[in-house]
Amino acid sequence: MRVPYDLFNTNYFRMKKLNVFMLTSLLILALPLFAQNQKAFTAHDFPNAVSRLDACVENSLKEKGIIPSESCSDETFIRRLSLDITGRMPTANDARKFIQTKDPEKRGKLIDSLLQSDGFVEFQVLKWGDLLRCKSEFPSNLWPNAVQAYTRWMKESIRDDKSYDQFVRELLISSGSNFRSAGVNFYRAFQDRTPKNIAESFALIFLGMRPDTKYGDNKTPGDLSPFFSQLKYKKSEEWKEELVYNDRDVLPLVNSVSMPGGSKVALKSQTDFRIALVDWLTDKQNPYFAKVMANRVWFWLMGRGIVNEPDDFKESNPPSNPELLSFLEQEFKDHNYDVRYLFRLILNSRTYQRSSIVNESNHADEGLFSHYRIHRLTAEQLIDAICDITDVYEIYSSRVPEPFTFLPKDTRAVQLEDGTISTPVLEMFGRPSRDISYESDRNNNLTMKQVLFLLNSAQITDKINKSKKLKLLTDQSGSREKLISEVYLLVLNRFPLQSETATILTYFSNNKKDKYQNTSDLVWALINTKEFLFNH
Amino acid sequence: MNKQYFNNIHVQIKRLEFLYRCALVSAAFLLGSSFGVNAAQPVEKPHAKSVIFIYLDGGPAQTDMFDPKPKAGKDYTGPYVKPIATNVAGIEIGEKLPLLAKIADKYSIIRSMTHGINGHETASYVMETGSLPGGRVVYPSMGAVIAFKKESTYTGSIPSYISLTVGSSRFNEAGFLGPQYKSFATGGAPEAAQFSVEGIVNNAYTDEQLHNRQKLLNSLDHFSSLMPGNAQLDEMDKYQKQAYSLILGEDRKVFNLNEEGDSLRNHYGRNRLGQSCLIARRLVQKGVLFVMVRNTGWDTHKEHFERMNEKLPELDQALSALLTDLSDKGLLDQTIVICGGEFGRTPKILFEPPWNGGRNHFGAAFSYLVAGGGFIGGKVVGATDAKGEKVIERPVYPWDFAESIYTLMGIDTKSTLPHPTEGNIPMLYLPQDKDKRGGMLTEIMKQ
Repeated sequence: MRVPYDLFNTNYFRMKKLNVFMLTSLLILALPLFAQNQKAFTAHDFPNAVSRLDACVENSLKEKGIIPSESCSDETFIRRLSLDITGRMPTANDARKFIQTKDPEKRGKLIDSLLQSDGFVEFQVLKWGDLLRCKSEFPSNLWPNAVQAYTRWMKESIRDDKSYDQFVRELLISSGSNFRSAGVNFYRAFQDRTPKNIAESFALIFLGMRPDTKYGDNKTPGDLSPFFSQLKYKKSEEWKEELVYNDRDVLPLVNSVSMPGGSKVALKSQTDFRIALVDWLTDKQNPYFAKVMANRVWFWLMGRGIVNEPDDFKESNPPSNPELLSFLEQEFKDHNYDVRYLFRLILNSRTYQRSSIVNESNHADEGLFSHYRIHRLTAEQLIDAICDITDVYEIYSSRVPEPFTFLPKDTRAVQLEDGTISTPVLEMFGRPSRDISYESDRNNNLTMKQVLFLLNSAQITDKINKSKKLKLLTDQSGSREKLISEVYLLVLNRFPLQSETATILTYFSNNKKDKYQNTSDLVWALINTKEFLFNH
Repeated sequence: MNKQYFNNIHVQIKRLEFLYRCALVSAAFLLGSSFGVNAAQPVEKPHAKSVIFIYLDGGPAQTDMFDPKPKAGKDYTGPYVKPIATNVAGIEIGEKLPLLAKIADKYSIIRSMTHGINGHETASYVMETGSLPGGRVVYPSMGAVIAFKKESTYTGSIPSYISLTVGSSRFNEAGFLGPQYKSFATGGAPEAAQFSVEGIVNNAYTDEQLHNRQKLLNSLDHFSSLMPGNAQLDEMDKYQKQAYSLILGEDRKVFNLNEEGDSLRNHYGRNRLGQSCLIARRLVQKGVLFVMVRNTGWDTHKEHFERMNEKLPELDQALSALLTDLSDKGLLDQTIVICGGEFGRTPKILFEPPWNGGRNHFGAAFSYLVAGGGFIGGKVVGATDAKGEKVIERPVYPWDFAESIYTLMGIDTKSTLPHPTEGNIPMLYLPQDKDKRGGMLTEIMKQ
């Protein structure tokens, strides 16, 4: 509705302000926590754990006679690591510094520093927002205030290293207002809020089990809907506020539920059934909980799950390396469901740090992780990278509720917390719809339209041609060679080869246009290279 | 007071919508064997080759356009009290559409479109997909479905599903089919001296410059040499070649309106809508399957009649020019033209503040214009009551509409679409309740 009244938005703004205030103060309070975590990371057995991870991978490769790829270059490493865990490319300066530093431990140090960065939190919030279908309008209908509350809770949980079991417990055993008790939005992000739909979503996200899958007798995900049969919803006086509560007076329809894996969980009258479910889920004996999350983190970092797809656990889809998956599961449990530990473990491995350049023996390997798998930059990574390169930003706005709310000018696509806030370009590059919780909802396939857009759209050429940053770079670089080198660091995060510099110098001399246009042409060309478009 | 009022309206709308959806959704099922009352076999040789959808984004006021109610009183008609006769006896339309009135034999009017949804997002989803909301599946728009179904026979280098000039911002047009089936949005301004088309026509560069830049790009492809035989990289090579054949080739000229005479351009109207319609005609002439002309500004809660005085003449001119031009060029028989929005607007005018003479969202009863591609002209389908507030005859639901369009395009509506996780699922998600199904528009479809 086009109604120019501020009053509809006052709440929205008030919450935003509060948000910033709370974040800042919490950040200050949380600083000592980070320091503590740092300590936990440097425990003595860590290098040993990393070696065991690599041994799991390398043993299985040896059995198949596959020789893994070499370690990737430092240039590739910093770009890959930054993209994988913060969603953004390194700056030219960071890349240069990293490449030139002789410190033999620089990779480990970079991993630790990026894991403690805001970028890590942002990128994780994005992934959880995808999984939990965080979206204010159609079809989830969470509404902006609720999306903000939900996101704020995710942000704080991830930033403060809330253990994964605690995170899930808070999410699932939640009651109250959608604007205040963030977790209840889990129960609202459905077109049809039936216990069955909720149970299916639960099984998909936390057990990696798809609703339509036929499992063997012992492995059936079963009908978990009785656990959600007490949920009720009511509206309040505040516009779009909704209270979600669990009515203990609702009697169980069954005395107990057969759980995936074979055990049974009893439903007792006058209790919150959800508590019984979460107790079962987060028990260290649970055969799925830790495994599914460990596999998911592996999938996020390696581009392929040990069980793949990562949300399709079933007998007919076994892990490609069971030993590796068990190892990760055990490490995750032993470290008290510490997600950041899992990241650190994988990132420090030889396996993660392998080159994507294949050899004769491993070029056909799909699921044994003998090399890094290249993949197209995701929608958000790509747009943010182009904005960073040019310093010309996108304008994001929310049209719910009207009148539109415009987000701060320097908002990054990775920071968009609401699936409803989108742009045609983000959708063109396969940003997930947040309509379903499958990892495959994010589409990283390359299409002809994407290539057209990058090659010849006004949106891309305008960003490059109007970039003051690139003009300044042109003016301040001194020589053409220096300029070329700076542009390479900026776009591809490496120094140019001699042959590349020579090619470009020739192009510059043949081109009679002004020097700024030369820079633009070069930046445009590099953005259209495969080396840029793919994370490798 | 305003806030309270607004809250109430919203709560009411939401509540109605919710009740309606509960009723529908609880009765809904994924359609298997039985299919509608007027189930028809897909046409052997399809009537239509293309669709042009003139989408009036925001919801146009049906009672000011194709379903006038002059006797409903001033509270309903506002200043538009004299509907005009058309060249088809017995059909009258709104007084601001005199050019369309002269060619009513070329199109038919559906006056009984209904879905009962009053929220933009859900309503546009329903109108553009023809599917009921609900369940765990988000359907693709009709354009995406057609692009998908005709993929193997479409040979053009121009994308087969095009939006002029922007795509939907209300929902994801590609639905579960994935981003490659999203419409190609041209961006730019067709009414400008040079129409820039995102990715295809970039007026910042001459052809020579484009050639030089292409050469530079190709000479900097160091990465490919490190990874020979990589399928993803080879695919990118293939797409870049295809892209350049469009960027530097002949087909891009379809977007060059300077190839048309000034008089025809003027005839369509030198504005966004008019020139978009002209581009649409040029695109279907080239075989493009689905063109979405998305025209905004119809969400007239306030200053409704002031806005209509501007919008309706533009629409009248553009749409009548399009139908005439298609007909003159022998293209109308193979091109379906449809025009309407996500819903209509309240027949009763809201005079109270803050609306001060506006019309709100109305999904209970609204109109669509259909023409060409196997749709017969000169007919009226369905009717609303004396004030236009209720469908009283022959309800037409969005799924009836979509089913008719697919059928005229030669697409078997009993076939399936591949969902990434649910397997092959029916093309449309329909209500189980037979009362919510009007059946295909066989009364205005050529056999």
